Amino acid sequence: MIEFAAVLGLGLVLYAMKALPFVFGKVPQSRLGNQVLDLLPVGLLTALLLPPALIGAVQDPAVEALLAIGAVVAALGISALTGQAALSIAVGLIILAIAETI
Amino acid sequence: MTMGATLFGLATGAATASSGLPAAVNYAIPTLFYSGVGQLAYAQLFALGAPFASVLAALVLINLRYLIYATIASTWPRPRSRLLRIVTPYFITETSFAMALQEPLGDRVRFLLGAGLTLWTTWVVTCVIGSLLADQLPPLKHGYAVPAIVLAPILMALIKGRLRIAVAAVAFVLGLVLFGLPFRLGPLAAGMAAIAIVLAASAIWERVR
Repeated sequence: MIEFAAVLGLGLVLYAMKALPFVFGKVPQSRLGNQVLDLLPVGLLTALLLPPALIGAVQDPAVEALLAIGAVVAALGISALTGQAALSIAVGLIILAIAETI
Repeated sequence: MTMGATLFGLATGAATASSGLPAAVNYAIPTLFYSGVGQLAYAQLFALGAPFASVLAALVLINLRYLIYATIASTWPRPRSRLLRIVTPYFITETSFAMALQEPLGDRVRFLLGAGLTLWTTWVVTCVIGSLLADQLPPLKHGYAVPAIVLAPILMALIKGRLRIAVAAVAFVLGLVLFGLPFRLGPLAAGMAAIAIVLAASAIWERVR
């Protein structure tokens, strides 16, 4: 019961972190502010997705690491060249599945 | 996108179940937190017997990025319905936020809600399955690569224009350098610092030119 109450309380805090800016947020409009808001998704998603993939792969055995990095590079490359989201994800996951079976 | 949520849901459900949490908490936590990394962190800290205050501080720091996503989403045209305004932010995650960014400004919140609902359903169901099959599921050896693969199309669509390309490049390098920061603050710090560096460099370049 105590654990459930703790998780409920923590869940409410996590929800509040998302809800308060969204429900009540007033973001001041300025040229710099708009630039920062425009660039934030690129900066955050790049830093959140790519370095962990590279660092994770480096810690793996060589062949698996190459396949894992290859899977990410293939997904990024196919997305950039063709714009085909489903194809790029499918190819990336297939290569990663091969790495999983080694 | 649900493929990525499925893989992570199974792995996270299995990892949470093996931490020794009571069954009711185990099944409720994917819904109450709706944060995979937060859920894993809580399970690890619970297993270590960490005090509540440190668990709270860790989860707040780990989920700081949601504050930023929600702040950005608050600049989009928001629904008039109070209920939708209250419900929509619950569904903000990397994936739903990134998917909504691809849509025209007026449709983003609606898309955030639709994509979020689909991803949330997948997440909760797969977490429960992962919990039930915790003993039978093999560990995902290369789980670290799944988010990058699943979100690659969105990331590549976002990286357009000189400033964004520069921010992505600097964020990648800083992300590697700051990877070891505690509470997974590395990406957040790297992303913010990259923007500051690129905007400062851009301002200096404009002045020199």
